[in-house]
Amino acid sequence: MRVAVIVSLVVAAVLCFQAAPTPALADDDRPISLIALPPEAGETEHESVVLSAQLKSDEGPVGGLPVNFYIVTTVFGERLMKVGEALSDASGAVSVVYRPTWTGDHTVVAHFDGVGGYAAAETSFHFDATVAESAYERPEFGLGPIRRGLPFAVGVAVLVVWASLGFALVNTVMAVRSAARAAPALSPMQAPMPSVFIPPSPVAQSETPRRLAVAVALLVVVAGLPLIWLTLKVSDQGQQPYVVEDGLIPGDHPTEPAAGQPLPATLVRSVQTVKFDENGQPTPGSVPIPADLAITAGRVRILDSTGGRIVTVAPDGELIPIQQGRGVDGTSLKGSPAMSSLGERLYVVSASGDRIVVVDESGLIEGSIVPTLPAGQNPVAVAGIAVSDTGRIWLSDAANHRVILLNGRGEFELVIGEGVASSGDQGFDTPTGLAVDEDGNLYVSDTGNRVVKKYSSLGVLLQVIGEGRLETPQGVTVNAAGRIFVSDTAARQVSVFGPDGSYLGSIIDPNFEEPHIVRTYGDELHVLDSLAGMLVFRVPEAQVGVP
Amino acid sequence: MDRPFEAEAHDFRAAAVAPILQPGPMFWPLALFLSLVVLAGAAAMFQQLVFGLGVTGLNNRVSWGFYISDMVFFIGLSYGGAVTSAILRLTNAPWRAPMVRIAEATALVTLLIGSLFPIIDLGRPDRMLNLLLHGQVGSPVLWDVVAVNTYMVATVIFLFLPLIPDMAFCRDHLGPAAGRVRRLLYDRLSLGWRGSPGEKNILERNMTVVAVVIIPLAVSVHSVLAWLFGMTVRPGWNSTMYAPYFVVGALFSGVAAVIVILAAFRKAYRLEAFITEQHFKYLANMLLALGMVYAYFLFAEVLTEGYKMEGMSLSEGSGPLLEEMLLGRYALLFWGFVAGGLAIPIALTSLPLTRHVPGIVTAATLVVVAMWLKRFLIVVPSMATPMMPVDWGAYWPSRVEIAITLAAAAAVPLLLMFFFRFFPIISIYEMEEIAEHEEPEAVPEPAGVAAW
Repeated sequence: MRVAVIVSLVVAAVLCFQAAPTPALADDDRPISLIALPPEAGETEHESVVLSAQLKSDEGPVGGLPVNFYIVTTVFGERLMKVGEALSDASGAVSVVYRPTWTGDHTVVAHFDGVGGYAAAETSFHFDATVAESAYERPEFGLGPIRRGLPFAVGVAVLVVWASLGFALVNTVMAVRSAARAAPALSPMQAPMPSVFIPPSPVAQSETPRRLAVAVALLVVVAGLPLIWLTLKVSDQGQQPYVVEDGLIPGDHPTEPAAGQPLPATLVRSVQTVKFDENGQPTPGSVPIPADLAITAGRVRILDSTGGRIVTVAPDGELIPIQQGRGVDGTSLKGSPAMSSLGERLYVVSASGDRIVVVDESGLIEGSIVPTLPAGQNPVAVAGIAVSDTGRIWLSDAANHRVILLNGRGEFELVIGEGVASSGDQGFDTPTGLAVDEDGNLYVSDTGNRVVKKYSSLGVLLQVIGEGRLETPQGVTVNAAGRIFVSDTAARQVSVFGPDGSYLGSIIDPNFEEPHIVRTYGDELHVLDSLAGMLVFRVPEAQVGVP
Repeated sequence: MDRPFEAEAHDFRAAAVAPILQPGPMFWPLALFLSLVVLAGAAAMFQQLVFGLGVTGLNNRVSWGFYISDMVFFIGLSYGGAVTSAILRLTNAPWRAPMVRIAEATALVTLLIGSLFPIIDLGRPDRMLNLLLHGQVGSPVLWDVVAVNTYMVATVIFLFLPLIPDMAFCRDHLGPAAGRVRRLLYDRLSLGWRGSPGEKNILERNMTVVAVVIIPLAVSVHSVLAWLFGMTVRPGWNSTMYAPYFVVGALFSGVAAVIVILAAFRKAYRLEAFITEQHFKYLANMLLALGMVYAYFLFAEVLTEGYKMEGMSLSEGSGPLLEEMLLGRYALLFWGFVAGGLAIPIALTSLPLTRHVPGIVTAATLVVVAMWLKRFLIVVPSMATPMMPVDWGAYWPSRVEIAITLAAAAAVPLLLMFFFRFFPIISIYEMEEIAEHEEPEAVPEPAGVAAW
């Protein structure tokens, strides 16, 4: 069945005949224009779009020249994805067929490299795809017939096995029973020991057992084939998602959070954490998936757990490693899940959670703090870390649903949480982000319970924040005025709450993809997004409450 | 006549039924101890049913832990018993006779226990029904259930067929000493067996049919089990060699389990006259060969993964997983497996100095323990290694999981002990058949055994 590609040709608003960047002209290069043409739905292929442009010089259309088409993708940072290359025809028109892999707005870049005495030219335009090719099913995938037939073949093989087993069992049982009927069994203990215990008896010559066994085997196959067919049929119809009928597993919540109220905020800076060289490869400084962020003395540090290093963000947006490699005790930051700061020191949790690496301002590893837990406690699977002004260290243990307080030497002081998922005052369901305010109070992003909980430094619950407002709270931070910022990964927003826990609004930005870490510095809010990089907002003073 | 075979202590028939008539002084204390362990596991299971999987160490990141390791382990053990017996039967190896019953019973018991673990791992056993109501034929999970159940039926038949003449023997010779329940059981299960040549022909033929079926069936069970992992795009599991790797691993651990259980029952029921050191040497040869094949698979796995580590990012997974395995937090377990499961057993079973029963049993015990460890290393580190580098998982089993695992381990000898309280521990029928047809030196009988 042909699934028509519906491309909303919002040409007037969407088609942006942007002027091509003016290429540097060689003396003998003639100028040429690359003009975008409205995209069209593909006629012969499903879910395809025809992307077109026209090459035109002062003398008219130019044919026989190559033009490359790219789609702008934002996965792991903005970059160009080549979708095709074609030669212009006599009318200067050049087209390629593209299958969108996601719905929504697409930016197309058509680029002419500049050959044949013509200068380079480029143009871009948009289209809105309402149907996308499935990411998981390729209709033209050549193994379709095999895939459809394989379960039937395996089912037949299973039937043959069952039939063989049935034959063996029935045949044996019937044969033995027939022989027994032909000559009655000896009474118990009749034969003296240790003589040969079974005397010869008439051979059961009847064909009945074998015929019966064959019949059973055939019956298994005959009855089984329709069963397999029925199973395949039901299975084909059963592709719809599984429906939970009887409630929720622990941690599931029946109600969706209330929609966020947009909060005025200005995006003042965007830092791509992944950059690509001319070959489309990530540059050495790239941080594909930034794990955490800390601000020390105004300098932004990003934890690159992929590369096992810490990078700083230069004013021009470049990412410069300040620490990489192993420490003197062999400690590696590779796979580190979380980082916090105190003064100019950074506290980075190792991948296994068995030590907290202290890194100084210059990136040198000063040493490690080894958390010591009471005997019998599960090892900590650290998801978040916060260090108070007094040097006490809070660790969130998402796997064991608890938050642990250590002193500056790593000695155990306190635990909040029941060890299993819980929604009580002293319980968590997958606690993640942590923050400590100036008074030493702890804020825990209780992701599974969809709230942020505020505790005193003694572990007494003071406040539950964001009930009904948060979907998947991850990062949390508190500014000097007590405003609480919570990144909501699934809702793609940052919610802001007042010191009393009242909801002030949400920062909703189209750049957000997976905002998971938030930090404040002055009137700036730094948001680290796993996929979109680092975004810095200036939030109006009334909301941020800069002292 | 409480002990009809006392005067014929060296007769294999007397030895075969001795556990039925007189289990020995340690039987009940040991059964009590094992029952307590099983009851503790049952209580833990009850706790899990009431409070849910939250009482385990399983979490969103590491959702497969002890239970899935146990499933692979116990089903693997069953493989060794069934396939060893089937291969020896098909190749007509005469030395198999005294040990096939123990091997086949071990196969059934371990399979029964192993197949419980997916249900335990579900947390809500009633959700097994969803497999029938919403099962997808494209999913290895559905086929795993089909394969395991088919294999279980085959194992029962494989065990049952040679039991028929033995049941007749018990029916005819044990008398009131067996008790009413047993006598009824023997009467029903013997099916009126007379031991005529026609019956024997049909029995032999059908035992061959089942032996032929059970080998590919067992291969398929462990292959499908491997595909549960291999069809998943996760670091470590994303491998095309997982099916043969699992099959060899199952055989390796299964043969080791047969050796250990054989040694235990041999000692407990004084079967030294029938299960001789030569049997252990034959099994040690199998263990040695399988150990070397498994070591080769392990080397191939680590080499190919390690070779590609250069330049790999965390999101590609295998590199960090291997680093964690070889040098990181799983290094102790991994190298413990290499030493205890491969190096030492291979040395013990290959060096003439240690190729005796204690040495071989030590090697087999090490293999059994180490292969459980290997299943843990297959399951947990891959689950804990993130697909995205920001979310490393951690897993530590809870007391509930440990209790259930220990209960399963205790249930194997317990069930076998009670099984042999009802059924002959040595296949009388096969001993007779082989003694009738083979040359005297082919049957490893010690001097002094009555040529009945």
